[in-house]
Amino acid sequence: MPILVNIDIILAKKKMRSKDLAEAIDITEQNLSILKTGKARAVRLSTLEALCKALNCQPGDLLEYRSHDESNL
Amino acid sequence: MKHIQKIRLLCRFLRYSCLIGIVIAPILNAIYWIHEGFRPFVFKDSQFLIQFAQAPFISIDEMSSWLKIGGFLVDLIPYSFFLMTLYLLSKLFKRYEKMEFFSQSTIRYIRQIGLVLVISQLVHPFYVALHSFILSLPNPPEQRLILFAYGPQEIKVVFLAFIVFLAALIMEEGRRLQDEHSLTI
Repeated sequence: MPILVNIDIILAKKKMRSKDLAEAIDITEQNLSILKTGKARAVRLSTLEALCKALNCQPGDLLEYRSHDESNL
Repeated sequence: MKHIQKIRLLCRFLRYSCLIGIVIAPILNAIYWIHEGFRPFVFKDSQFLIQFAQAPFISIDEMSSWLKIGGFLVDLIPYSFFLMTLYLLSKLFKRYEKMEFFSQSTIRYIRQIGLVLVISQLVHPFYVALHSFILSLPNPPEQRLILFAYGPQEIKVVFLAFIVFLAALIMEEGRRLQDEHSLTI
């Protein structure tokens, strides 16, 4: 998936656990894992808003575009 | 929740009805051959009936045991397709009872039901011919009969099979949408 969700990086910076983040944004840990591992097909704006609020960051901090060519390098 | 309970209840009822049908249908067929009178073998709806000889059928009471067994076994041909359909439906309703609507399994069952319906109608003329021949065996050789019949009733079933195939395609689309939805966070 060319769009990456860099939750792990921000979680490390904020010293927050995945479990706490999942509770804060009211999704299951399984769904959070789907987001982190790039298996998600789509992200709702409401989820993105909740993530930004919980992690005190901008959407651009969370989302990164990497083309297939760059991924294979 | 009430809606889900209704679905579960109805699916359970339908599943058990199919399972009971699987057991009872062959028994009823056997009872028919043992006890019931025989009705003349006529396809009232068929318009393409070709009859090679005008010959009456004897009643079941006059048939020998071997002929009854033969008739019963030949009747198992359409019955096997009917039983297969009931079996597939029971599996399908079991999945629906578990609220599994758009899975590969349910789509596969629906497709298989359509296939069974088509094959049953392809085999039907051969069953009719065999059935008529078996029943006319007690007749003198010049009065034995082989009937071929394929009429509106059979065509209706084939048309129904195509609708079932369409339903499978629509369910496949539903499965894709469900997958998409399940991976939307």
